[in-house]
Amino acid sequence: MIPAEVKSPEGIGTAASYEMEFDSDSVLIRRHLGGDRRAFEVLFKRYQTPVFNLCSRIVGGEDAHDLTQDVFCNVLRALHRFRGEAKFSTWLFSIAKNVCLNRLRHDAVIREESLDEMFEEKPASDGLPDLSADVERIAETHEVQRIVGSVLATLPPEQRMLIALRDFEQLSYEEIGRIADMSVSNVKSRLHRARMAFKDRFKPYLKLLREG
Amino acid sequence: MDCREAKELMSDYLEQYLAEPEVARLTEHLAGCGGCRGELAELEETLRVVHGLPAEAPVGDLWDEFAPKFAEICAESRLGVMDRIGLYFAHLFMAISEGWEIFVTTVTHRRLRYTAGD
Repeated sequence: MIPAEVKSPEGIGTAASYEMEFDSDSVLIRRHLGGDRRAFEVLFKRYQTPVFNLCSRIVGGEDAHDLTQDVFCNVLRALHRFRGEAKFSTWLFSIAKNVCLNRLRHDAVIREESLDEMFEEKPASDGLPDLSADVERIAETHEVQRIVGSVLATLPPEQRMLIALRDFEQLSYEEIGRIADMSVSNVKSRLHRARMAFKDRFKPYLKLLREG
Repeated sequence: MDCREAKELMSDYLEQYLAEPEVARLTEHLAGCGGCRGELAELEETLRVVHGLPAEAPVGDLWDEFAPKFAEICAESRLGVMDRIGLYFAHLFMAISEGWEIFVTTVTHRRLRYTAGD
């Protein structure tokens, strides 16, 4: 028996919400479309961190907060069109990917950068943290996060997206193919190219990490 | 197998997606190629660092901030057909205005830069 007011780990207050936390995504979507307003809250809380993580890896930490909200606004508006042919998470991530790429296009226009320039690889030194940084500091997790983010930001958006989906969100190649609208073999070869580009730019920091 | 082909297979090798004959060919190449062994070790180490990082999480729960938007969107969905059409055009007008503003800003900025260049 679940008490009337339960504080779940995610902080949803009522017993009904607590029970819903164990429901599958499709059950929650049905409940939401049937008028149960708490169901979307459970979905939101279930996916806010993965969506934030994806936005943060593709666009950068500063905008991830707003973009996460934009993603869920789009999801909420389009949820009645979700047919369940793919997993909800796959559908959600494809919306997140579109929101992130649109933001990057928008930013490119503001910066007067052409789309071609935006999708090109930036020089390896562009915006990367100083290599003379203190080795001990680099060994700290948040510093590694910052460096990884800076290195990712020098890659073209598609490469960032592929690394984010595979290496940070740990999605399968099939799911990434659906999200990125590519065949599995295309995902594999492009992801490999992205990883090699990332590795080459991360190499100097890897050396510092070993020393740390 | 040459180095180019070996490099192409490295991600699949590390993720154990390679078929046995390809693993054998790659292993044979690696045994005689220090450069590719080094590349593979670097890739493996880089991926280990990346995979070991915790997910970037929002500070606090975003729901509290999202709840008013949720209420607004739910209210929109309960509107009648005519109200929805009105709202659609209002959103369209706002999007066009925003696009126009970006266009004007960009053109003005470019013109100013062009004039300054003269």
